Amino acid sequence: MVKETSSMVVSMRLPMESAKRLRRLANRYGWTPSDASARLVEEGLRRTEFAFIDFRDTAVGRQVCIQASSLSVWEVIQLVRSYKGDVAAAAKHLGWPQVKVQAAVHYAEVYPQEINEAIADNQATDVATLRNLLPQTVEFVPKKPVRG
Amino acid sequence: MLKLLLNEEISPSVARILRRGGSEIPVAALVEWEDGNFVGKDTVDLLREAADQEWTLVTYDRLKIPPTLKTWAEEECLHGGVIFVDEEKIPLAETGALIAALSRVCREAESWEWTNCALWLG
Repeated sequence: MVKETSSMVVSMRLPMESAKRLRRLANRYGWTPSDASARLVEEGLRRTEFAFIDFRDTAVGRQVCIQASSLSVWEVIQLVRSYKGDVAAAAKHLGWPQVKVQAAVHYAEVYPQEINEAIADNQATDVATLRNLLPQTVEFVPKKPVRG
Repeated sequence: MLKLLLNEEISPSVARILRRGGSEIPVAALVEWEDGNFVGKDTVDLLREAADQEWTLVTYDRLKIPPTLKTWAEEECLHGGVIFVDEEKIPLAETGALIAALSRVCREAESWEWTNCALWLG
């Protein structure tokens, strides 16, 4: 998530116990303590700056998601795009207040690359890729056209 | 027996319409399943509970779920089956198309062995 090309050194004094916890967290993810603290600060800033935004561990790493939901922001944006940008329709689809969908849209406006990459990664998993991961995959194509 | 659990990105109306369709196959939306207790929970916890209760998850998520299932397969852990919907063929907004496709799955694949099944629905 942290992909800034330029950076500056900020030193900070941590309680000993916090430093130990930071080191343990970094070890768990294979990060350096410096990386870990930078990521935590960035996540904390984004949580502060955006309503309804949270971060969660997933099988593909940390993902930005919507509070009290299982959905990552990219999944909400994929839905909004499916409704051709109609936020109200996407909110109705989910049974959410419109403001939660709007929060995802605002986040995606500020971090478009992060969201677009996740959507592209999702789309890149086609049936062939899925078969490589899960050899038991069966393709089911409805006999009658389901559209139109 | 096939039991369909619709992941959160799928409109709960899809579950309601499928239930009204007369099929005996249980269909639940994640927001109502287990009193909504798995909304916002880790995907691994959801897949584990679905496996225990023999529910098959229907999802458009091809990013986060397949790596978990791969790991489970390698560790010989069973899951309740997952139906991956191809968003390019059945867009999220076209709930009617999804209802039609899932209705066909219910009719034609009800008797399949769904444990550990991965189905690509396109």
